[in-house]
Amino acid sequence: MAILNRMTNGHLDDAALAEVWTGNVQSGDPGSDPHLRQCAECRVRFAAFDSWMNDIRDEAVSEADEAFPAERLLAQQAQILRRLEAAERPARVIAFPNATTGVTSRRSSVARWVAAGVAAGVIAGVGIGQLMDLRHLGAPERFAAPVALNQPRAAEPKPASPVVLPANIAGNEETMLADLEAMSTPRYDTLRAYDEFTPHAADYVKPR
Amino acid sequence: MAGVQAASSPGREADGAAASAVKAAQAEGRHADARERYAELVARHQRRASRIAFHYLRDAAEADEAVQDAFMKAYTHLSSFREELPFEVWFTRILINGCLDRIKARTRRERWMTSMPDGPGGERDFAERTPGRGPSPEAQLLSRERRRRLADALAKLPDRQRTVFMLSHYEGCTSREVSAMTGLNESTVRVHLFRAIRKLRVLLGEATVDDAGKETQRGNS
Repeated sequence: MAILNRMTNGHLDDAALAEVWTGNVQSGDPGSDPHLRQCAECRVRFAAFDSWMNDIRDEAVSEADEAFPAERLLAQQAQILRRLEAAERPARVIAFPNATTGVTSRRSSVARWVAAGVAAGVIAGVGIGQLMDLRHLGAPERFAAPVALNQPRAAEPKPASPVVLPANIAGNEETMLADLEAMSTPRYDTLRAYDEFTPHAADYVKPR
Repeated sequence: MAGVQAASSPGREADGAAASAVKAAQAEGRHADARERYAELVARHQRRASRIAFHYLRDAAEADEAVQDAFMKAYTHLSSFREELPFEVWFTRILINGCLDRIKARTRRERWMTSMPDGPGGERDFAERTPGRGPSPEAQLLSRERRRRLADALAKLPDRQRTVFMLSHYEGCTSREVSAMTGLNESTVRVHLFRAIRKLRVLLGEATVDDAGKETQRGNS
């Protein structure tokens, strides 16, 4: 391809310059291309290409060197050595801190007596509560007598007389509404006029 | 054209000797000696390592961590280091893998998190606003802009092309060294370098898009 370009144009294009440059970098011989040796114009363009490449490198390298000044490199080296040292040391087991003085004191013995007393009180209370409860539970009306399994089962108790409802519930609706109205009727004479304007529930219930 | 010099042959011999000494000291349990000898290797390679990590990660703090991690890893796995390979090649491979892992992790993180602005109201640091004795603000601005464009263009290169370009051009490694560092064969390294240059020329406005088309044909041929 490069040869074809040279035959048609006579000069090296950008790609050919890159190819020559790459070959030169690898071989380390800047004047290895025969065309460059003969063509002054291409040599100038190649020099510009080479200069551009060097500028790129210098810019990149100086940027990296600015990011890593000598002090930073020293700190980095120290940090690496510290990490290496730490990695080689066996894992340190941090002991649980020992108490320098006894955990108990004079005051704490009093506190212990108080705590013991409270605990005893709670236990006694619970015990007495249980006893009281048992006595209660022993009442015949709450406990059914134990039934022997082989005994024939008693017949289901028949429902006793029909449930007796209070009179005001058993009464008809009209009575109930009348009662409600009586309750809601204002007891003040000044409000009675307003009350007469207000429709009453009884007005909407048809008499049976 | 030669780029930043990679470790010279005497340097490599010194590296090899130091690495062997560290290995021996580790094997005999002389850890303090091992660390002392390893510090020589760290001092010799940390600048270059920091540069490579910075070019990858574009963040000084993260690059610093990546370099530290790489040195830690190299120390703990030094028993697997073969002396026939230069230490810097072996170490650079560890470093690059670490950087690529970090980039992947960062991409995953950024998928879930939105980045915060630089400061309240997007303001810059006080140190940045304070006039210094360095180049003029215009020169600084232009330099920052050039660097940003270059970093953006470099970030647009595929991983392999970027790696090959940085190692070959910035660090001055030969294609054989790059091949050993990346696991690519030498001719592939050359192709990646050529393609990277062509793409950068187009991205930075030094070559036309037509040229880029020719590059593709060239790379395939």
